[in-house]
Amino acid sequence: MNLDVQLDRVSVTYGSVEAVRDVSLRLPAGKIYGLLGRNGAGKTSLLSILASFREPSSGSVTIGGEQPFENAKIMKEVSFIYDVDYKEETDKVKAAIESVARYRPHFDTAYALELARKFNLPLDNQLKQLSKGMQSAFNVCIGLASRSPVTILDEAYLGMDAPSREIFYRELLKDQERHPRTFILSTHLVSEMDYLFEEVIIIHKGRFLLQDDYESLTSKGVSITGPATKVDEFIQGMKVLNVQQLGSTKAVMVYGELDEASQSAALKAGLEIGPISLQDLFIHLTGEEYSA
Amino acid sequence: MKKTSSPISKVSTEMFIQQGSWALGFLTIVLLIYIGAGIVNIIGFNIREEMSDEDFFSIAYRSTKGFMLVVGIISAYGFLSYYVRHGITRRDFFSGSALAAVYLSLAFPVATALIQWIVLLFASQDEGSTRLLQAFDNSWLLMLVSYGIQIFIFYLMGWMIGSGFYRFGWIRGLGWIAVALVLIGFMDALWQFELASIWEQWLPVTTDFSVTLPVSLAGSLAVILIALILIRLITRRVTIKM
Repeated sequence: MNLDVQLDRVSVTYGSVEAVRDVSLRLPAGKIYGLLGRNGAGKTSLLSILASFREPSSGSVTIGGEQPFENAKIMKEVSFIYDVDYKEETDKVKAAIESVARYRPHFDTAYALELARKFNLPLDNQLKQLSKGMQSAFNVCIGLASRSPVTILDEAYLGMDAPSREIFYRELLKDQERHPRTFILSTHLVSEMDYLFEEVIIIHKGRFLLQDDYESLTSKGVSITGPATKVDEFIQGMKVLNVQQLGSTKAVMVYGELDEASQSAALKAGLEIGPISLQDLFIHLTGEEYSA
Repeated sequence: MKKTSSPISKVSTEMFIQQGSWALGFLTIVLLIYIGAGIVNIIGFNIREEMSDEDFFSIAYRSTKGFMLVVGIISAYGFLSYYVRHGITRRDFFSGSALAAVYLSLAFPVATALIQWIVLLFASQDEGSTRLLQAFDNSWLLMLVSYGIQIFIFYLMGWMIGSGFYRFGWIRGLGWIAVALVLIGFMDALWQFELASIWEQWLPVTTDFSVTLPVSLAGSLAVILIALILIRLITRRVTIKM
């Protein structure tokens, strides 16, 4: 089943607060998408619509060409993994895994148990007895082993320590190779996860900011370093993201591709050109000092 | 492959197993209370007169209503979120949960009757329970049917109140308690009037049931339908809490 995700002018309002505004997106099936946005940007609201937790206030959503809300055929193919509150949950880890297996058509219980072992999850403990990081690891087990064609991981790593997060990223890539599906990873940990993303979507204050594949997005941002006067001269008319100055040396981040002519001009002027990270791009594109 | 049964039957079976295990725990506690009261009575302490007169069944009968109300409320909160999170539609959850409530309402009368029967085998029958048994002798089935219907309605009331709070929050949720009180009052009037003689005064069944029984059943059916329709309307497009 080819479950492309499409959002068309989707808005979500809570009373008078507009959490998501007029967002349109197309996510062809089978890729790993990174959804970036600052706190309160509307990431979770947007994702909860894909998972049919709520309906959009306006606009339309389709998955595999069908409207997903209350659509049994689509809903069973969409997994939404988030920070679930387990403080009342007395089910044991193993039983909880087996319970989910009954509802997810592609669930691989053996794989779930293997993941649980890798995360050192105690199978005979109740979910409420697990630490925060362990609960997140449990969620990740469920999320990966469900093998849902559309798998949404919303800050799934909360509380997980660095080695566990590393296992999570590695397993995600490995399983994606074996069973390709659409992953939507929403995150704050941009620098740590950027290598996972094939495409990046940034939303800001409820609005769509950009969607691009990872390579071309990072090639769009460059840092230019050199003598302050030369740098200032060179960046005339460019979109400046950030400026740092140390003595007479200035480092400027600009957004937009440099054509060959300007690259050679920069070299001739003795300027140094370097790449910038997705993290830097994200910070400066959504930072308050920058207004598009 | 491994998945052949429908989501509705999966939900109803799983919920019934879960809630049924709570019910067994609940009945065990009721049984212990009953035995405890019996022992205290034998020793000679003067507990409430009605209490010493009651048999296991009548204690279970009254307390099951509260139990079902609570299970109904939990159904609206814990179970709805859980199932939608795992890809079940609100519609399938609705049918599955209603079906689980039916199973539970069938299982309770059977289980309590069974325990009562076993208890009577062992217990030295005091005068109260003997009289009660005689009183029920010719309407055992009716009593169980009435019991099943009433606890089913209590489950629905809990589910409706829970759903009302889930969707509308605390202030407007209170309105659903009012609706439930009206419906429960109506149901009580249907069943308690004619059975008051049994439940309250332990009189033999001499009331002519054939006249009022169809009315009771029809009225109960109406209450059940109203409750189901309201629950479905509340939860049809409800936003799932995260």
